[in-house]
Amino acid sequence: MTDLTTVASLPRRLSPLTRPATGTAQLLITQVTMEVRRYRRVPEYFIGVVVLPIILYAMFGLGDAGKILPLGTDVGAMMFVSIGCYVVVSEALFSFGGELATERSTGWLRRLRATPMPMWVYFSGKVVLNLVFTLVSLGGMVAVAVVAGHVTFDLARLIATTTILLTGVIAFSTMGSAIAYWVRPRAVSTIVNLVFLPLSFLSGFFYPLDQLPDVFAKVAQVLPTYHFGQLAWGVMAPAQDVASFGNPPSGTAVGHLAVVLGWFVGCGILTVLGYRRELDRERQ
Amino acid sequence: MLQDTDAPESLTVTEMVELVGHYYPYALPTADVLRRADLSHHAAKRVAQLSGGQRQRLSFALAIVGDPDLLFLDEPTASLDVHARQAFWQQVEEFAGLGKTILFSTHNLPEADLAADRIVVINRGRVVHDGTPTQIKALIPAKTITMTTDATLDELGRLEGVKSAVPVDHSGTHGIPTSPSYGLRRVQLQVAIAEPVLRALFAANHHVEDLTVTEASLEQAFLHLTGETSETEPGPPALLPAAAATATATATAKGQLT
Repeated sequence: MTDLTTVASLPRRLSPLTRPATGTAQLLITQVTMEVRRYRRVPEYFIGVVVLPIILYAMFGLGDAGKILPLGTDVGAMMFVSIGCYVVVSEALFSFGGELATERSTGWLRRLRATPMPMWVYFSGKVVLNLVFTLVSLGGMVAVAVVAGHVTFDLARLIATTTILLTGVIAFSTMGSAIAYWVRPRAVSTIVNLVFLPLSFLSGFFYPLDQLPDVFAKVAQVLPTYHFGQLAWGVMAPAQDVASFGNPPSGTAVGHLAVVLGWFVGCGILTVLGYRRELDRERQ
Repeated sequence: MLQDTDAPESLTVTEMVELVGHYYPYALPTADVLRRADLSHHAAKRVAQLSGGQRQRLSFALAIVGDPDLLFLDEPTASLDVHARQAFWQQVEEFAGLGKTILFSTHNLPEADLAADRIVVINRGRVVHDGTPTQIKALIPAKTITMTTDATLDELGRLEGVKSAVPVDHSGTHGIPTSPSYGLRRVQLQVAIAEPVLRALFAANHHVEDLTVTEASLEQAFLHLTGETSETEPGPPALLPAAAATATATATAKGQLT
């Protein structure tokens, strides 16, 4: 085999019209803008991801709206948290994870790797896209609650809860990406459903936890979604109201946070491993 | 440049070029890229609405938006029709005019002949030749003269510069009857340069009619290089010609390398 290696550095030959890059911030803004535009223009996606949660809240969240828990929290506000948690987890798993998997199976992501685009820009673009869509969903739910259900919110608690919920999109994003990188693209939606439904049920997003058998309550203790729910409800209402709502508080905020973070990091490591595995495969 | 874009379908052509341009340390202005890829009239179209040829041009646009010095094109015209192919090479040439080096692989030899300044022929993984199209074609008798004449094969063979003289089938492709009674025959000569041979023929007052002179094709040179005879058709999988082309840059780039 003849050695054909030649190393040389040649001066860059820029075209007269070329202009230098405008910086990382501008790149990130452009990436996010394009991601949002791209998905906003796909009606089935926008309706499924952004509008559906608002409809769900209107159908199931307003039943007991206006009922006031002992310390003054509106049940409609508690239902906002329950369905909000469901929205967050579904965004992270279905939208973020599902879309990653879809793009992984098309040539587009491979093509992007031929550009100097850092992968973190790509992932950040997707996370921010989901944050934006989640915020729109939550905003729509609040509007429905106030207008149709005459729900009264404590403004400070509402803002804090919304912040927690948005943070959840980031916290659960690694679970979505881990599934996206370890499951065959065609099987992703099945697996996501298999993960998502039990998580939502066992964490009290659909039914108050005290209506579920004890075994499930024990299983719930290890689930990040349960602890995330506890955090979110705990911010929206005093502990006594959370208990009256049917999800008796257990553990401390720090403990909840630790479990959520643990899952975030664990799934993050899984994602990196899966991503590397794919890169290695493509190099072969 | 990859063969299929697979780009997000709901973004417009302008948005795609804008976005990908942001990934590079330097970028050409979007309007300039669209003009170079002949997409200015489709700037507002979504990717989903583009035809196959337009998608290919978008692919080209995304490849040049970062103002690369070296552009790799892997069989870029494989799926294009004749018109699109011609337009494409024009765009490539224009980009090369900026002082860029373009490297492309192709199985289409006339295309390499037309577009490349330098051709590297690779056969079964080995470089068998590296040179300009003219140099490669000079490896074999450069011209073929076909004519009907009264000169005998012996006489023709003795003319200077004639490498071979062979009779061509009487049924002749042009349907011109060659009657032995007039002493006319249809022949084919392989020569290095055509003009002196023809001058000698006319000077000796030979009858010459239905004359054609053709240049050796790159295809013949390629078969010669890879050791295949023209009777066996070249099987594409075994033979992988690769061509390197630039309008002006290769020579300069090489100068800096050595």
